[in-house]
Amino acid sequence: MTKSGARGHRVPPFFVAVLTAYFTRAAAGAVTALPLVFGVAASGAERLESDRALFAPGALLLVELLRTGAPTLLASAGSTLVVVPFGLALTLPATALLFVTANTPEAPLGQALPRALRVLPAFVAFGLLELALGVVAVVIGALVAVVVLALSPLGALAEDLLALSCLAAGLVLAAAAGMALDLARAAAVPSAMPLRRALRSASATLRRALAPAAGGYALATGASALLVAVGARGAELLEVERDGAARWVAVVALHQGVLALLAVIQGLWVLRATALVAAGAQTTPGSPRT
Amino acid sequence: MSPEAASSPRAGGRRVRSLLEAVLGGLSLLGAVLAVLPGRDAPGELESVSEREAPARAARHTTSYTLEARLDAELHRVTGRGRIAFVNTAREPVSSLFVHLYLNAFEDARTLFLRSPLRTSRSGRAPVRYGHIDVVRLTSPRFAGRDLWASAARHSPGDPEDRTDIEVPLPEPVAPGERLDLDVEFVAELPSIVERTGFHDRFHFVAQWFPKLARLEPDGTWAHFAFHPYAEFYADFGRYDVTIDVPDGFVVGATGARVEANRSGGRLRVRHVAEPVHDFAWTAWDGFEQHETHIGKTRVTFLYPPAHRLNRDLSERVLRFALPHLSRRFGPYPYPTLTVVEPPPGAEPAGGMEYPTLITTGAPWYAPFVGARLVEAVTTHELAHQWFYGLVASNEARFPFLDEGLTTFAEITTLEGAYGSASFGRLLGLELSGHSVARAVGAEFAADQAIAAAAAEFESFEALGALVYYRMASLLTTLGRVFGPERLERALGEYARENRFEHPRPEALVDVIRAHLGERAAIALERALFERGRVNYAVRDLSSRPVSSSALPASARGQGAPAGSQRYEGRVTVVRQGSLELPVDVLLLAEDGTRHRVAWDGTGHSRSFPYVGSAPLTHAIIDPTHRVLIDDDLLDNYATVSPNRLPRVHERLAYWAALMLGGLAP
Repeated sequence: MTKSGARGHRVPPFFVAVLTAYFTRAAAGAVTALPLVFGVAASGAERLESDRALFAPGALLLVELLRTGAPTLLASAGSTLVVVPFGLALTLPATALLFVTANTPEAPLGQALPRALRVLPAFVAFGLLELALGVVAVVIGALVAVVVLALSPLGALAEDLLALSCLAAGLVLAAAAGMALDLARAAAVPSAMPLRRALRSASATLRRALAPAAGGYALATGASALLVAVGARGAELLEVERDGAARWVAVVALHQGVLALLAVIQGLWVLRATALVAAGAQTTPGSPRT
Repeated sequence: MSPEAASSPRAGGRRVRSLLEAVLGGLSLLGAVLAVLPGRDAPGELESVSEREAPARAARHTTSYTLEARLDAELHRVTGRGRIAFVNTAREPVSSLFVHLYLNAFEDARTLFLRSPLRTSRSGRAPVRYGHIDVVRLTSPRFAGRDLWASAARHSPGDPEDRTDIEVPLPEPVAPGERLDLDVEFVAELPSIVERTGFHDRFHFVAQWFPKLARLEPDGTWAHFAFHPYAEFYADFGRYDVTIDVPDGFVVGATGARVEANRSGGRLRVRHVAEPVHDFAWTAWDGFEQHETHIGKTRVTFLYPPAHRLNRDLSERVLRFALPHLSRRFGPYPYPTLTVVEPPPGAEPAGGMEYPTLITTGAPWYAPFVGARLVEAVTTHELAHQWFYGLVASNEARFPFLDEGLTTFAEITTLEGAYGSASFGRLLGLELSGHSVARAVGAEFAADQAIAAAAAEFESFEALGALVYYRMASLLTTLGRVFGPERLERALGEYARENRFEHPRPEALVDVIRAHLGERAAIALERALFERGRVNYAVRDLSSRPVSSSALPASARGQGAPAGSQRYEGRVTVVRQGSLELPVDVLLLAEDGTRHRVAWDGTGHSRSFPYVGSAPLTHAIIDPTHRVLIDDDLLDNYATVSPNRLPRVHERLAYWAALMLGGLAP
């Protein structure tokens, strides 16, 4: 292949960003799971001929592992909680790169990477804010649900459904916060604008294009949920507990495929959010150009 | 009663409880090996024995009741009167009666029942409104209408705070074979639903509601006891003819077949007759939905709250399998009716309980969606009680394992027959069997107390549940897997058939195990039941080293092994801890994939197995097919020289972690 030919078939930076998002998420998962894997091993599973036995029908040895290894496993779960922030931190640069390449798809990767690093502090702030808002929304929903369950004079079914609705409302609010902050991320990328201005821009975008934004976000969320469900069912059908490395390889491929497709869905949503913000910027005098 | 329907009063709990309940919310298992195949255990022959002898046994009614009960649904009061026909079936004259007034367990906080450490019952709920029963009058035509209750003891023997076990002296003894008719009037004030009995709003579950004679043993003694929170009941068989009078608009379910029903004056009167049975319970609620169907020749009536249609469907589905299945294994279900009651939300303590021909289930409306077979498990458990409690009427207070243990075994194996290895449920893509859960729960308490302890002797209901229900079920499963599942089925089938309408003691169970599974099985059963017998197998040593084949004896070189080829010799040492001696296999695995299975009869405390092969040993596994389900620790049955890196575990956990890190949001 000639040098010009190679340049002509340059891999789009956005595609690279999606791949990076997938790899970092998978790597972060692997790292986060490590303490628990060590815990399972230390609980006696490492003595098994194969860990297939833990997934065997009936789950006799898995239940036994949970029983006899409970103290070790609980300690491992505590260690996992310590590792989670590192796992999340690992995914942040990839997310930033995704937004940067979505914002300037023609820019070479060499330019996108430094820009991603520049917006990283803002993305950390957005991430913390999203986490806080999400927790607050879910906790409020849960609290209202508890109050409903305690006070409602309704019958049990209606009472439970009302409580579930409150909980669901909390989750929807958390999702709404996530959507708004994605719009803010998209707004912050072009000029590394301050947090508050980015939030104002996201707010303006929502006022102007609430339905497209919410629809796109809901579509992406629904598609992700469906994908995960299909993956779970597929893994079940592959019966990893049975003999044969091929089954395990198939499950690995299935799960990695799910993670890759989740990254694609995330990428599509980021493109959508970027376009919505950009449309607003073009019609709003004084707004940052995208 | 189903343990799933009961909560533990034990503070602190055990880790297995929290772990399992966190995953599952409340539980059962095995399958193929214990499922009875028609024709394999000669059921026809056994049934003929049962059917031949059953009428004679049924004729030996000791205590029969003809009662009328009127429910005041506003005051939650039952006014009753009627006749108790008592026949002295003992060898000795009877000079006094013992009458159980179980409802008085809920009359105040000082009763034996309510003064337990948590002031609650199995259900974990204390009554909001107390309830009690008062006998207004107890007379007999034989004693010229003299009120016998006037001379009755004021309280349970030795317990001035309890009035659930009352002695009534008789003016003159009743000779063996003689009949004594008693006319009784009583008023039962129902408690708010507390345990199996009471009211919740307009729902009424009326159990332990009438003055009930204790069980008369053949030697003329009475098996009587104050009502303890961990204990259940024990009574003689008889004929129950009960007329129930409730406000019109209420739906009534009750023990036995309905033989009359009429409406007048804004009231509904229904008459139910059952025989031979040893208890009678009924329910009345104007909110029930009702569904009737037939399973074989049995008319099955479902009474359930309107929002619980899916639960009822699950109950019906599992009953269609379980009723004929249990009939094949333990003798035909002999009654024409079965009533299945699901209490409404708020009345959960009435759920998960057995009465003759009437069982209560109970699960939240969302139970069908949680993955665990809550409805199926409790329905099957209570149905199995129709045999181990209903027909085989052992003393539930003194030997709770005889009814609850056998019932849990029957439940688990029945669900396994219906749902295979997912008999407990299907969670996170994993099939969970009831055997796995029962084994784990029972193992946690194995060292605490004997399985055969009396109900009141257990330190907590959690301990009782773990040992009496689950460890007993795992013990029977172990005997079946070790000594032959068909033999165990024959033994239990014979026990159930031979003791139908009888009141067997533990010896009857040990005897059939000895007869069908052999002396070793009987010894293991006795040790496990009465002596806290346990067993734990563990691998203590696993080693191998290369040797020159010429250094090996000719018999150990192996045929076909090339001259001068590398050979290995080694040793595996296994130990047995505990007093139960059960034979096991030991599997030796070599690096080249060869597998050697050797047998150990389980005697002695340890055993070494030599190894000679063409590859080094990598693993040793005791009891690779998990026959000894009551092994204290299953994971120390495994040893290896090359620790497993757990690729499947890591992959699965990494995937879940990746999903959680990103959430479902894009």
